[in-house]
Amino acid sequence: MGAEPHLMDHTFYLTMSYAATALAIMAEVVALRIRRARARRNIEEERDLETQD
Amino acid sequence: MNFYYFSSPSSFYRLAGAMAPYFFAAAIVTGIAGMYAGFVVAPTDAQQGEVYRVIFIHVPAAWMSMLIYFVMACYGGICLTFNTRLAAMMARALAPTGAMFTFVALWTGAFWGRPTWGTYWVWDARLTSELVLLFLYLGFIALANAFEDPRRGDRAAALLALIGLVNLPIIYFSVQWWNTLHQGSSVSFKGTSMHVAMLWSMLLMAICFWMYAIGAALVRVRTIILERERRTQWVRNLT
Amino acid sequence: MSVAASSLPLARPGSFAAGFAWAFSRDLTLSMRHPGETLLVVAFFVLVATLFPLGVGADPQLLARIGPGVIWVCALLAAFLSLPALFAGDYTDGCLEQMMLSPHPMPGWASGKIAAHWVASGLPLTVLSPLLGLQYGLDAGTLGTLAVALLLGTPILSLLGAACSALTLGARGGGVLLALLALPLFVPVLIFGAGAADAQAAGLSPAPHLSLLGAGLILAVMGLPFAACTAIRIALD
Repeated sequence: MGAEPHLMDHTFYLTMSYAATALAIMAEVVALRIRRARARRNIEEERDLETQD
Repeated sequence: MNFYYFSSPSSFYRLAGAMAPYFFAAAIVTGIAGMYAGFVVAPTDAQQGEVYRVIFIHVPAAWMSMLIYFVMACYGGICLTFNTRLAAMMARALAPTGAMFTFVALWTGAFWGRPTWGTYWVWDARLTSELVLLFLYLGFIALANAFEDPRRGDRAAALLALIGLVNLPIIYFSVQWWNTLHQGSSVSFKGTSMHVAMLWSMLLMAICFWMYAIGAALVRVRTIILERERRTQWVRNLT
Repeated sequence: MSVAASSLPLARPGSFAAGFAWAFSRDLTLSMRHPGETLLVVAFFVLVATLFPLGVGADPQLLARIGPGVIWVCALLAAFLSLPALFAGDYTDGCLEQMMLSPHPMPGWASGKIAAHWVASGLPLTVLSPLLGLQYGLDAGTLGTLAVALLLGTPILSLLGAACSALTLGARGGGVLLALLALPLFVPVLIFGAGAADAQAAGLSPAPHLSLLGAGLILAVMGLPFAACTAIRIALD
C-alpha cells in the first residue's frame, strides 16, 4: 500500500518532465517551419512586387 | 577547395541543407538507443526509485545549454573579429535552441527536485546560475532584434554573448565551490560512480540532443539566410 | 578643468590618465550642476530601504535577516536606474562621437565616465549603508562587512551596467531591454555581496565572499571598459 502511491507520484513527475521536453522540441520544430514558410512568402511577395513595375 | 568557400551565405545555404537531415537522423537513432538503455536496460535506483530516470533528459539538456552558449559566444567572437555575416547568423540560429535546452534543464530539474528534495526550486548556486543563463539567452535574442540595422544587432549581441561567458564556469564549478543542495558531479573524465547502463543512456541522450541542436541550428540558419539575403539574385532564383 | 588635468605630470594630452581625468571631472561637474537627478536616485532608494521595515513589521529577527539583502537590492536598483543617462545624453547630442575622435584612448574617458557614475550612485549608498543598516538592527560587524562588500561590489555594478548601457544605445525597447541584459549580470554580485553580510551575521567568516567580490572587481576593471568601448564603437558605426 505504501509502495504503489509512491510509484504513481513518480510517474507524474516523469511524465511532466518527458512530456515538457517533447513539447518543447515539437514547438521548436513547428516554429522553424513557420518561420521558414514566412520567409519564403516574403521573398515571393517582394519579387512579385518588383516584377510588377 | 578554398577554405573560406563556405563562409559565404549562398554556399553555406546549400551545405546546411545537405547536412541537416543526417544530423536529425543521428538524433533519432541515438535517441531511440538512449531511451531503450534508459528505460529497458537500466535498473531501478535503490534510493530514488523510478523518478531518477529524469536524469536522462535533465543532465544532457544542461550540458547542451552550456555547450550551445559556448559555441554561440565563439561565433560571436568570430563575428566581431572578422566582421563576417555568417558567423553572426549562426550565433542567432543557436540562441533559441540553447534557450530551449536551458528551459528543459530547469523544468526537468524542478520536477526531479520535488520528489527527491521536497521542493521545486531553491536559490542554490547551480540553479540560480542556470536561470541567469536562460536570461542571457533571452537577452541575446532581444538585443539582436532590437535594432533597425541587423548588422548592429549582430555585433551588439555578439559582445553580450562574450560578456556573459563568465557565467559558464560559475555554473560548471558551482557544485564544487558551494556545498548546497544540488548534488556534486558524478561523471568526470576519470571515471564515474554510476551504473553503466544509466551512464550509457545519459551519454546517448547527450549525443542525441547535440545532433538535434546542430540540425535545428542548420535549419534555422538557412531561414535566417533567406531573410537577410532576400534581396540577392540567388535567393530570388530559389523560389 | 581640462587645463588643470593636463598640467599633471601623468596626464599628458592623449594619455589614458588625461582622458580619465577629463571625463571624470566633466561628468561629476555635470551631475553636481543637476543635483536633483543624481540625488533623486539615491534619495529614492534610501527611502525604499526605509520603507521595508515599516511594511514588513518590526520583528527584529526578520529585519536583521532581510536587511543586507534589501540594502543590496537597493544598491542594484540605484545603479540600474542611473544607467540609461550614462551614455545616452552624450550619444544623442553627438558628444560621444567627438570623444571618440579625441586623442585620448577610448578606455580612458570611458573609465572616467563609469567612475563618475559610481561616485554619483554607488559611493553614496556605500557611505549611507551603515545608517540604513541600523534601521534593520544589524550589529557593528555586519554593518562593517556590508559596507566593505558594497565598496567592492558597487563599482562592479557600474562597470557591468556601463557595458550593457553602451550595448543598448539607440535600441528599441529602451529600459526594459537594459533591465533584461543588466540584471542577470548583476546577480552574482548580489549573491556574493549579500552573502558576505549574511555570513558575518551568522558568525562565519565573510572572507570568501569578499575575496570573490574583490576578484570580480579586478576582472571587471581590467576587462569591462574595453567591452564598453567596443559597444560604443558598435553603436557609432
